[in-house]
Amino acid sequence: MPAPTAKTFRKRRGVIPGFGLTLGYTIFYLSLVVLVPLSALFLKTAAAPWADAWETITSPRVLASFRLSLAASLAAAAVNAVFGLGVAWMLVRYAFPGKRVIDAVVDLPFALPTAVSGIALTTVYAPGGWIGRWLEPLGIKAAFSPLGVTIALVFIGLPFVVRTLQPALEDLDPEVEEAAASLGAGRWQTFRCVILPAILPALLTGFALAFARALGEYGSVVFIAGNMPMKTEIVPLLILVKLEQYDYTGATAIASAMLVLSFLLLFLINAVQWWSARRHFAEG
Amino acid sequence: MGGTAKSQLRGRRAAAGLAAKGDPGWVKWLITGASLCFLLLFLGVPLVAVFAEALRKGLGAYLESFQNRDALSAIRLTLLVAAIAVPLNLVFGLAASWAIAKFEFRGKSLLVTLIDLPFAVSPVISGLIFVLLFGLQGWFGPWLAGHGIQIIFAVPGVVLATVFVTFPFVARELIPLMQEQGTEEEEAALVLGASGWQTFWRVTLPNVKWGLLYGVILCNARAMGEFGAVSVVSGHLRGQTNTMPLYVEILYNEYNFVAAFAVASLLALLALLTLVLKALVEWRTQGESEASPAPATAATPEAEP
Amino acid sequence: MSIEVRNVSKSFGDFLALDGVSLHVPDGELVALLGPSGSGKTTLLRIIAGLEAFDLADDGAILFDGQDVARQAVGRRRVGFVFQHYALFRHMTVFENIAFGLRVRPKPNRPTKAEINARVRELLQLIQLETLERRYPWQLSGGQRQRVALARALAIQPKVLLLDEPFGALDAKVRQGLRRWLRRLHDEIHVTSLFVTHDQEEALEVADRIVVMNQGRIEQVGTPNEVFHQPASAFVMDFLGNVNLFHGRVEAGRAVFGSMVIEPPGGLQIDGESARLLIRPHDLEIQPDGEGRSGLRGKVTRVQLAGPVVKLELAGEDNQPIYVEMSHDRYRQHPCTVGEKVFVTPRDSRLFVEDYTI
Repeated sequence: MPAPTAKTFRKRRGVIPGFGLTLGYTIFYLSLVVLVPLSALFLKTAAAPWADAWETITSPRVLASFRLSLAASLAAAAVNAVFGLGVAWMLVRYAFPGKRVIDAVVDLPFALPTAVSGIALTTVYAPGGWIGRWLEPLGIKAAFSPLGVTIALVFIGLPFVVRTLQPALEDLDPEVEEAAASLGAGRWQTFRCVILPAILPALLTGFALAFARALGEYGSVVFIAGNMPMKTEIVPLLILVKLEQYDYTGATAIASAMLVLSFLLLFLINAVQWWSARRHFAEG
Repeated sequence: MGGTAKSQLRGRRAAAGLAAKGDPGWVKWLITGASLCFLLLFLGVPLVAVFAEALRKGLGAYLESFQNRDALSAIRLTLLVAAIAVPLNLVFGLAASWAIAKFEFRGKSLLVTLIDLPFAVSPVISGLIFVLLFGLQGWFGPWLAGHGIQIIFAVPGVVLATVFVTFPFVARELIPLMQEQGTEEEEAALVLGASGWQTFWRVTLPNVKWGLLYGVILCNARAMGEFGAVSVVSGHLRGQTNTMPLYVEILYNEYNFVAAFAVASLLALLALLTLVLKALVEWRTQGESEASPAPATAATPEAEP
Repeated sequence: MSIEVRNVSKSFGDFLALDGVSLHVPDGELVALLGPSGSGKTTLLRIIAGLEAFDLADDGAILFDGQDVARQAVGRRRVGFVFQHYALFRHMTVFENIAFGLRVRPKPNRPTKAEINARVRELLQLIQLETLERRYPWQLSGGQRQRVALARALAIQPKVLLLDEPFGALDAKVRQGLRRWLRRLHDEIHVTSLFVTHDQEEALEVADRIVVMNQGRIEQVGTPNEVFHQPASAFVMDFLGNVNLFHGRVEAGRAVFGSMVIEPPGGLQIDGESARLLIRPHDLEIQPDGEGRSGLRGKVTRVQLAGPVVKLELAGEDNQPIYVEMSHDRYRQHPCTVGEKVFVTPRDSRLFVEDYTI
């Protein structure tokens, strides 16, 4: 951040007081709580021998966990993109009794502590559980398998897709659809050629948000995953495992790799939003 | 005013949809049916399961789960942690949103991104960074050990990790709300002779009170429910550093399912209360914004990365 | 209390919003700051109020009754400011809004509860909203909000009253009524008032004096009569009402606009310069024939009889449109139809040679 001169501040600031105080406190508290602790992680990684860190990250067990985390997160985000669009569409377009309740319940994964959702999902999807008992005869092992991990990640990611799509769907100008219909487009054509392109940035953002959250998720996954090495261990769990073995270097290395991944995603999300805002601005 | 502006708007759109561009009946049923089934399987059943499992052996067994020292100490610690983390982040949220919404300065969007940072960090990593700082092998570890201060595997560590994880909630709610409301009312108050504090307390704060409340509710829910980050720093000392979610884990791993779900049901009730309060706040803001020129979207839930 | 602005400039980044503006507003007058958007009028108003700081210059100053207030905080200046969008406190009732300025006074100067009540009631009566004191801003119409904003500004007994586009956000009908009400109100309370507007009709109707601004500078200061009938520049004339604009050149001491020649008394010294002639539509006369007089030929393309005056549209030489207005009486004497060829002569006009007024 280039230091602005006092003069530019005076020009833009007007009469409202408290700028120095509030900005100063904001930066101070941000540094204290977030920036300094986070930089500890990177400094620790940088201080460790690169070869060791690389060895940790490329060990078969860690690689397997990265594969699982990425695959399950992608699968969950994809499921959420499809069903999240359905839920958002239903909540915005259709009127039905109990809509307000459904609308509120979508936020449950935000509000429910992850440990609670973890044990609840495990109990429901375990063999003999309310849903698991119907899946068992079909030869589907839901809990304690990669599928279980995906189920938990679907749960945790749903609100991201729905809550990003809802405003985008509400903002759609009904006249555009009417115009498409008046020009002879069928319902499906209208959706594919008019509606979908308009909500695509929101859909992508929702997908990326759900994916990012799924990558880092811990609480709701560890119970249902079963945590078998090489098979159902997620990356955050491995960090914890390394910590419990007092392997701080290993834990730090994995964490740094994950953090870089998360930041890349964050950057991507911001880029999508910037792109869509610009497009919106150019149109409107 | 029965219906809110938004639902009226949606209603109008729905009506327009019926007239000119409505989905065919079977599409409607398909989407609604599939969506409701999906929500039922992924949200409804697990939520009901929490209470069903908790009450599996009857109300007596359920209530007994709270009758021991460890359970009570977990509840007490959870309340204590929230009581520290929420006010800290509330004050920060007010300061940050004031600076960001009322003034123009360079690097503002960078600052907003940095405030959101804790959302992008895995909970486990959020715990790890404090271990790296204050753990025995951490930067300040030896010094702290020399002075007999313990942070990791103790209550301060739990508090720190929670503050980190819940850091953005209030600020994130308030920034867009305050930005939308602009600075005219504050200017009006100042012209009329109000001091900075008077302007803040009498004009700004009442205008954002519902958004503020919403942010605090979310912040509190997360503070009480945080699991991953706290799990790393707590050390799982029964009766000392166990919060409710950690206690749930221990009970569950000991196959004490009724007790585990009993404690979990308290957290689930907290979550439901959060959802209800959130709906109320949303309803309030929409009601108030109905006739005001700038509709407040404060309570429109936002996705947190 | 008089207001004096002395050589004030203000820039936002590269944009120069005010370029060395000086202005004197005598005590008790109602003055309009008139100009197009971006002319700096709102910026000037906000600087006078203290809501905006001006660029530091050696001799820049704002004086109230000769006293420099540039360093005085906004709350100390005792100005009443009415915001364009009213900026009513949305969580307060009408009563609380008006009482705000009194309630936030420091303890020693704060009026008692009874005094505040009395003062607010008095103001509610003044703005004729006694029955609505418990309403919230969102329950009021635009015109009512406007009056509440005014009462709130008056509650602190301001030394000067500043209004930013006071009628900008209202529809035409309400605007008319409020304008006259503001004029009457000012005649009653006589507080020095300055209001910003981009509506020339509003300025002509309400103000004692008009300050015409353009591109951060003051073009002219004068009574409505002066700025309308003796505009100091082509801009002022163009901005205050409709005009026909003709481009021509100075030749042999005369300004030539096609077949129309203007000969100012004493002649013009600067040959070869381009000249602009501005004529208001009602200053043009239509004759069936030129009879050797200086004027323009044109063909009637449109006749609009509906309305208080008759409006004619003509296609002149090079198809340049010419607008003419006349009374119905006069039109009845010489009615003309679309397609008819006529001759137009100016009764009155203003000639500008390189902004050199004649």
